[in-house]
Amino acid sequence: MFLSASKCQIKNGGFSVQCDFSVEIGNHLSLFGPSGSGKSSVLLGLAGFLPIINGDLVYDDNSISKIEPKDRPFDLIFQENNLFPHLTVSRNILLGLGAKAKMDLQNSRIVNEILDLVGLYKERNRLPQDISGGQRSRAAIARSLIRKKPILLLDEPFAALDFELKNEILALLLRVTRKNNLSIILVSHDPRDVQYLGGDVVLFSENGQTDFYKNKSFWSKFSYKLHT
Amino acid sequence: MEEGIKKIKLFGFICFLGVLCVGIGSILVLTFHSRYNTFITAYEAQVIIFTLSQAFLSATLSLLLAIPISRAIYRNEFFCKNQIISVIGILFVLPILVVILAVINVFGINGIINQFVSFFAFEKFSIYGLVGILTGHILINLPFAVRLLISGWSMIPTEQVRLAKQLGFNTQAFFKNIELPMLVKIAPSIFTIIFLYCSLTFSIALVLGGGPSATTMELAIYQTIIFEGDLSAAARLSTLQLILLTFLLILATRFTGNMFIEQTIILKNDIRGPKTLLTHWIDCFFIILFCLFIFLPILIIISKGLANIAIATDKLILSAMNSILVALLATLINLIFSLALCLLIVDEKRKFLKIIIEVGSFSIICVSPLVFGTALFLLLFEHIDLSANALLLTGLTNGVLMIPISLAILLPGFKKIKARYGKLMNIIGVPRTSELAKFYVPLLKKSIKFSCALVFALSIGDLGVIVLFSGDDIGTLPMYLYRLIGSYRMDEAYFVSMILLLLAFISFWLIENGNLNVFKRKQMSD
Amino acid sequence: MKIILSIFTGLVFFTSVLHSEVRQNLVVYTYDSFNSDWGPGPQLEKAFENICDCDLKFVTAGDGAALLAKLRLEGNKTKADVVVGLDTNLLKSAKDSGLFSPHNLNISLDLPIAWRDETFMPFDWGYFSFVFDKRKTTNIPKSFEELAKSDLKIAIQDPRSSTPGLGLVLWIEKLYNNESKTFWRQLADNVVTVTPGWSEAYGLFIEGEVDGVLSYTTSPAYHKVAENDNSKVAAIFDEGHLMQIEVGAILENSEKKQLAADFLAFMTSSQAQSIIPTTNWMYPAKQPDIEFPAAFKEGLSEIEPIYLDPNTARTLKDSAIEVWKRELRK
Repeated sequence: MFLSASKCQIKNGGFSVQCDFSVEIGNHLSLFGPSGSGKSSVLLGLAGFLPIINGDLVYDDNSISKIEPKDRPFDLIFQENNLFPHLTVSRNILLGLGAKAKMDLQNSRIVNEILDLVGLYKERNRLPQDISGGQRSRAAIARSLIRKKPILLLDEPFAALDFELKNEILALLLRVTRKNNLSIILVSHDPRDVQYLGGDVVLFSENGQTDFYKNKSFWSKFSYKLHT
Repeated sequence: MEEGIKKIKLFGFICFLGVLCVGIGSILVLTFHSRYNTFITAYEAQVIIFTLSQAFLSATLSLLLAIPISRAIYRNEFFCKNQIISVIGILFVLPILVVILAVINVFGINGIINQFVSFFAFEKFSIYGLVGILTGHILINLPFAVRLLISGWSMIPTEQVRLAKQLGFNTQAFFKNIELPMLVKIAPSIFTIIFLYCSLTFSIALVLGGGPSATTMELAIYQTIIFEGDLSAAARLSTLQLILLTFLLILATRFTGNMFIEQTIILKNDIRGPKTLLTHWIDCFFIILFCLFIFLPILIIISKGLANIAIATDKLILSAMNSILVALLATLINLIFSLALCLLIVDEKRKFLKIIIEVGSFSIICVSPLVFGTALFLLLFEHIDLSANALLLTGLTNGVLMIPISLAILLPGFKKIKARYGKLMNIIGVPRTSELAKFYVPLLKKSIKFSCALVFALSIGDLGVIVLFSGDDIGTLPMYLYRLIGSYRMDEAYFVSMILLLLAFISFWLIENGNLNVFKRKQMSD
Repeated sequence: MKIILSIFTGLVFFTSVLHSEVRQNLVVYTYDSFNSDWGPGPQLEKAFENICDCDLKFVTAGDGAALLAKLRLEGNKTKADVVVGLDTNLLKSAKDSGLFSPHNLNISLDLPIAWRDETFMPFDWGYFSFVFDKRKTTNIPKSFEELAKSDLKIAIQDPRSSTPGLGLVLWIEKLYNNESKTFWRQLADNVVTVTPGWSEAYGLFIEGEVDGVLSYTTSPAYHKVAENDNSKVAAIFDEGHLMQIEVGAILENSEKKQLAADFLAFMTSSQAQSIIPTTNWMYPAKQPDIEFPAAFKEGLSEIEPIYLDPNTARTLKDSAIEVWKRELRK
């Protein structure tokens, strides 16, 4: 199964950005470039929060560029405010099973499993403001996983975390995505994230140009630049 | 600790003590100037019950109406939306007498609505009674509540709205998980301010209530001070008033005295909750209702003002200038006091003391303005020439009495910054004396501007409590207005009302939107 | 901070210095509208300063009631030499305060009643009455009875916060005595609303919200003389009208009692008495040499004066307000 964007043009206010890429489910993709180059807009366009005004977005041979965000094969994790501040960690995760989901026996088992997976079982009854930034990221990931969407969209979700914590969470993500055959589309301006994630890369330039690179060709072309 | 911070803290404490004196001191002064004391009478008990219940109803209704209205305004695009948002605070600044006349012109026996009603051969209705009281109070307070709630809606993080879309929330789930928590956070403060406002005035309740049963505590206090000269009764009543209202204040703000007012309005496109055709029509209904309700009275005052355009006399111009002066002074004093208090509160580490200071500062809003004015008069009249300093005193009292309002606007921001940058400030060793100038003021510029604009506009329309005793022929615009009506000059009074309205509006707009850093920005971009 | 504080105290000091005395100063307390641009204050000040070689300064306070309250609050530390504008219905408590001293003047006045008081000197007076608009009300009531039986809608003032309001309850208490309860009950459906002060009630009347308003028999004269509007008319009641006499008095504490007495005498002089009626819109306490516009005296001779001496007014007041409060309840 593939997700492919062909000449997808995404409009954000007075500005628009176009990109082409294709990613097979199970592989990852990085949207990489300096701030302001439109990476986040593309991500929001994929998720359905910004309109795709030209081109097409196809998943599993179906066009998904016009359907509602909740019906798309994505779950987007934002930079911040991923959790509802008035709900406990486990209630936040429960929302992934639907707005009306009740904490019944079956659901609480599902939630607890996920909590175990991301290592938040002890914190399950605490409010978002009472746990650390890293724990909040894990909770958001947990909710994404519970939705069983094939592709996770990450909008620099670890920008506020320190290096070690970020790697720890990325490792967790890689582990669970490999296990469940999921894809990650990651927006980042940090080449280390891109390298860590592996997979293909869409390079965004400041002039609004986007280029698609296979993993190897990207690193052979740019590694010298990125590491200086 | 550096020398500087000690000084600032000391100043903060002095401000706090001063502020505390406003409440307790006023009552003590009155008690000392009176001779004997009695217990509460049946009549007074009745008055207290009426005061609290009408204030409760007014505040509840204002809030309940403001929620769908502000939501509709925030969620929809329509003609002149931004202009409407910036105008809606304006009825709050009119002198009460003008508000009453405006209400009568719209809802009275010969008001626009009744003429409309009788045109269709229905029977005219009378507004006097509970309906009248509520109409008057809602007219004044609804715009204020709507304005603050719009800020509330706009402060919902974009991500949360997108999250809701991603998780497929319907209207109900959206309300429960996103809108309700926001309301729970800011509605109690708005409710409290409206509630206290309605308990501390008497003209609207009496005139639109239609009879002596519509007596609020403030009228009873007026009667005891002015007509009976019975200061002990006044002190007793206002003690009761202060205790009751402070108690309610603490209750309403969840035991901490934490008032929370959002003021920034960020209008985002496309980032709104779920909509259906039905909600669209409900939104339209509320927007139209609100516009009619708020703008009819304003339009009437403006049209009557335009119909009676007079050549501005020297006295009118002088009064207008005095009003601006008083408002400037009030704003300045208010700003100094509230900044000092905010700093004191966020810097205080002992939790108990912190809460005491917070509640104490907010409780000024529970002090009867009349008692405060009388106490100030009793304290000062021997020492300074009150009539010569009437403007100064009016500015001072307005500034002090509005401290709770500006604290409610500024304090949440101070706390947020302290929580976010407090450690950073310690680590990089910002001299604590310059924390205010380097961190709080620049980061809270918008809140400070809004607070100043509000205080300025409010005090330009306020008659000023001290005026009752410290009269002189140098007056402010509201005084000039009252004198006009007192001298049978109703037509001119409308003209002056219009000027007052315009003045308040222009100043509000200028302070809130004026960019004092135009030059700085230019230099930076060059 | 220090700078701001010192500017503040500086301002206080500076303004006080500005007002320090050079000539002999006479401080006269009065109510607010007396000294407005359109009131008698400014003209009287000029006229008196021409003859006294002194500096007259009016200091104002709200209305007649607030004026007395201010004097009582200041007690024997007041800076006032004279007060003008006290209302007869509140004179008892003024007298009891012991703040005033006898004026030792012997001036004969032209009041409808005989006035003898060694402390308080009248300068103008009026009758309370309901004012209607002829164009809208064809049957102007001729008595309280007629008013109560009619469908006319009126606005009155609160006796607890306004002197005309107090006047009305005393007027009715005096006329109806023990029957005042019943009468208020009959009148209740005519009273649209109660306002804290005269201004709000008169505003409602001008806006057409009510047919009639409690004011003075002289109110229509203002509209005739100043606005050339003949539509306003005062209802003349057969039972008679309660008088409101406005008086002046010398403060016990004043060090310029002679000058103060001169001012009180001046207030009854032909010069002052010709200024007051058309600025304060009340009848002159002593007929001056000039003729007033005809509108002024319209119907005046038909009116039966009712006068409550301060002691009676004081005794009636509390029970009158109590009855009003109870019976007007809706």
